[in-house]
Amino acid sequence: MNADDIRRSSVLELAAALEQGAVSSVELVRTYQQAADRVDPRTGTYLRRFDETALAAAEQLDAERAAGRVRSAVHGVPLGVKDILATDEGPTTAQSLALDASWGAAGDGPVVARLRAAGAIVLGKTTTMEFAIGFPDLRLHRLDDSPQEAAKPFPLPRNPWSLEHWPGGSSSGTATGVAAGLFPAGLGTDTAGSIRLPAGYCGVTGHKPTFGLVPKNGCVPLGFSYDHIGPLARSAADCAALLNLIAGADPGDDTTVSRPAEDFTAGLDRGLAGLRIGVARSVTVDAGSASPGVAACFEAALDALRAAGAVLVPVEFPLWDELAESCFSGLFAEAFAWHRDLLARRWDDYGVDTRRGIAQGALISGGDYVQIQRLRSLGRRRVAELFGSVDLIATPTTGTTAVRYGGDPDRSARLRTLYTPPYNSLGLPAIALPMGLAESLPASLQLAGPAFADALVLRAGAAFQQVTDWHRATPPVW
Amino acid sequence: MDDRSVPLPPRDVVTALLGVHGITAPDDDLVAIAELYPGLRRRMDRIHAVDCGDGA
Repeated sequence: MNADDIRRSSVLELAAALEQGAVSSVELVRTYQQAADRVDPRTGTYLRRFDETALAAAEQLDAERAAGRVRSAVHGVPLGVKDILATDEGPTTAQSLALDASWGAAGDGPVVARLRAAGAIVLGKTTTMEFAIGFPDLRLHRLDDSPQEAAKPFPLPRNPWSLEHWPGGSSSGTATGVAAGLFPAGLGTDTAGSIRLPAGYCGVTGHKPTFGLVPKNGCVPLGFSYDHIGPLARSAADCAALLNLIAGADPGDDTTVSRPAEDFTAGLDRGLAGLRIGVARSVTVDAGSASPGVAACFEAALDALRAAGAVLVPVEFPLWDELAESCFSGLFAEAFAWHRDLLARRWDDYGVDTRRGIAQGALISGGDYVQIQRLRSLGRRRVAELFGSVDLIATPTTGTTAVRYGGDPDRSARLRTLYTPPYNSLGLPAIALPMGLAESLPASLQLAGPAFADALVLRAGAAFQQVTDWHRATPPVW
Repeated sequence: MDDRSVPLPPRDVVTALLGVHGITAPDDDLVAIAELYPGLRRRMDRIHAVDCGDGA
């Protein structure tokens, strides 16, 4: 395989090439490192690279393979890891100066440990928004004229489809790294859309698993009841392969649910025939929050789903706006609980927007927080009823393509274009799938399913990617 | 959407709400946090307006 072939390949394609002896893990690591040398200064993908340990791991995994031991489908495959997840190689920053350097000193959290035990190689830690919150604060990067704050020592992530645009967040670096061919897949986290939004804006695939399927310990929390760890990759099939390895209860996270082990790749070839997909237009493309280009991509994606055998059914999604709003309010209350003492000690070390945003949590009363939980409980019941009549629900992932840096001051308007937060309030599985280009930037389809129907969601994603090839598109920055 | 006017909380109120948690913040932060409050309150009012029944 030449370097370009490697960088365009999916996890499963690389696994096959490794199995056939067409490439070695060392060759993969070196190829991705050389690509990062050229591309990363433009995309801001990495906070820290682990070049030496990655090469050493690759050598060991190649030796194991030569001796006949293959640990899993990702044996010898390099990955990127968002820098709010603890790893053995070094400190976790959460892209903040406020996080104590001792955080994560215990090393790999369970998800990273599971991938490493399965033979994955950690190439490095990828960029995020500070503490996985919100939009980029340009004051941190001196991209505006504000003299309020000195620049922080963190790169600004940029979209490989247009360096003038935000790649989305907060799993920014993992998304840009997959999109720009710096690794085939990686880990992100999703509290209001932070896997699916950057996946959508960067033209890659991202899966937010059902809440409770994947343990969250070893991750700097944002909103403990909204946070999810999941994969970003080139395809739904790759997401399924990674989910196979990271799913499962862990005693360190008592929100995880003990369930029989499931092979999320087993039914990926079953297609869409007969599946009923609810189309939630009234809360998205018909609500005035989608651009014409994204709306057109969505209609084309629905045509592809229909052509592949799905039965499309218009649906009214109950409590959509309230569930979105409860996500934004509830996560700040939960974030404040975790950050309270840190804010008291290190207020000035936080970015301006981050500390102000989290401090909102002090303004949410106990009664407010309880009502948020009541609303979520009602929402789960009402949406479960909806899933009695359809198998999946389709929307765009976002109503617009990536936002230009410095060009979108109206944040409340921007929030209304995000169609991801209701699924965080509900804890339901949802996948973001590339569905075309609008204004030369990626648009994304979101498919969501009932709790613990991750296999069905991934199967539908794989079927969509059997009849479309947007997930194979490569960006101008490559 | 509930578009009723929500007054900004006085800066002293924000100071107190943070202060009980041991947090002190400069004036410009306090003003900015106070300005976030009407949006937060409107979101919460909308959530409170949902009849969640007696079972939750």
